[in-house]
Amino acid sequence: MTIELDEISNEDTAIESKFDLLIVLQQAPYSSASANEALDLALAAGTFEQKVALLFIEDGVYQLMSEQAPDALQQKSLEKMINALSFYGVSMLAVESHSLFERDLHPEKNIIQGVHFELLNTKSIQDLYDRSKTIIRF
Amino acid sequence: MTTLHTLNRSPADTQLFKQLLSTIRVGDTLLLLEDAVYYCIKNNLNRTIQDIEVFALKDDVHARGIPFEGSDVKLASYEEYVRLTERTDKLINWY
Amino acid sequence: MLGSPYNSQAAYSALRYTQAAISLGHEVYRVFFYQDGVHTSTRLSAPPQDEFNIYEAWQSLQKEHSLDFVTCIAAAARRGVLNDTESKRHNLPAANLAEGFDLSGLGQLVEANSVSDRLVTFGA
Repeated sequence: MTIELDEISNEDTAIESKFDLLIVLQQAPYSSASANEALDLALAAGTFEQKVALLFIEDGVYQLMSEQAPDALQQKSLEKMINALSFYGVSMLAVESHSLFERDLHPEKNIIQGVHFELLNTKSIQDLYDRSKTIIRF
Repeated sequence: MTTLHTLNRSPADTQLFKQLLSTIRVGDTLLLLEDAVYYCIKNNLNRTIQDIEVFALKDDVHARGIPFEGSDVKLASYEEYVRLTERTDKLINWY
Repeated sequence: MLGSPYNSQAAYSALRYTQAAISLGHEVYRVFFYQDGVHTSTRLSAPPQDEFNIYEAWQSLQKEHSLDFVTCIAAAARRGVLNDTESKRHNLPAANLAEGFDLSGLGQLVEANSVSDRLVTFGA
């Protein structure tokens, strides 16, 4: 199975929705509680039936790497939480393409599989911000 | 739709500023607070962000001793920060 | 409010903003303390007498205007900020949540966002 890179344009249906909350994840995992506490908020908002989008950008894209084994640091698995997000009602998981590629990460190889991520360019991210009532960054 | 953007990190945080620049639009407003008031020293923000009104939180500027003559940036009180929040349709806090 | 006193200016900026909003007649629906911001809600701080006491300032503000201060219970517990109930529940020797703060879940932040015109975030 191959994962296609979507260069999302303005007209794409992925960003036609409006979001109550956009959570921006810009920090690497495990060196602080930032990633965990961002995802906790995402789950809470989803559970309360808010329309929630997540944006992984800059070092936040490291949270999406596929071979994580955090028990080596006696920490919880982010992968499990990320897999659960859509089940708990998070509408959209977006990733900034440039952040992935400048870190030598590729959607087909080193990213968690089985989760649908929207790969966004700068313009699409601007759209995403436009369509979100509130933005909280972690 | 107009947006008030606030920024609190110093010019050393280039990544955050880059994200802000990708999102800010003509007609938006930018408020610098905390360490972001250091952008005022070089007074060259208007070259980077054109057609955007820029404010800096007065108490943060004074505390840090930032020279302010001839600056394009306007000083704002906390009350004015609140007023800016009312005046725009949306708020994005960058930190 | 996401930053703890002394680690960032978030707690101070948020305090000044909240005071300003109230003085301009706004309803401050809730102040939610998350991440390191939970440290603002301790009653065991003892800043030097000649320094501004940000903890007392927040507590006075809450009392004066009967504000709804919510500290995230999970973020607080893992950082060692507990009320009497939580302290007993975890068999810990003391409680340190300041008066005027309530421990509750992230649902309170989500709810506040859905009913408010603006959510203002002070980050580290």
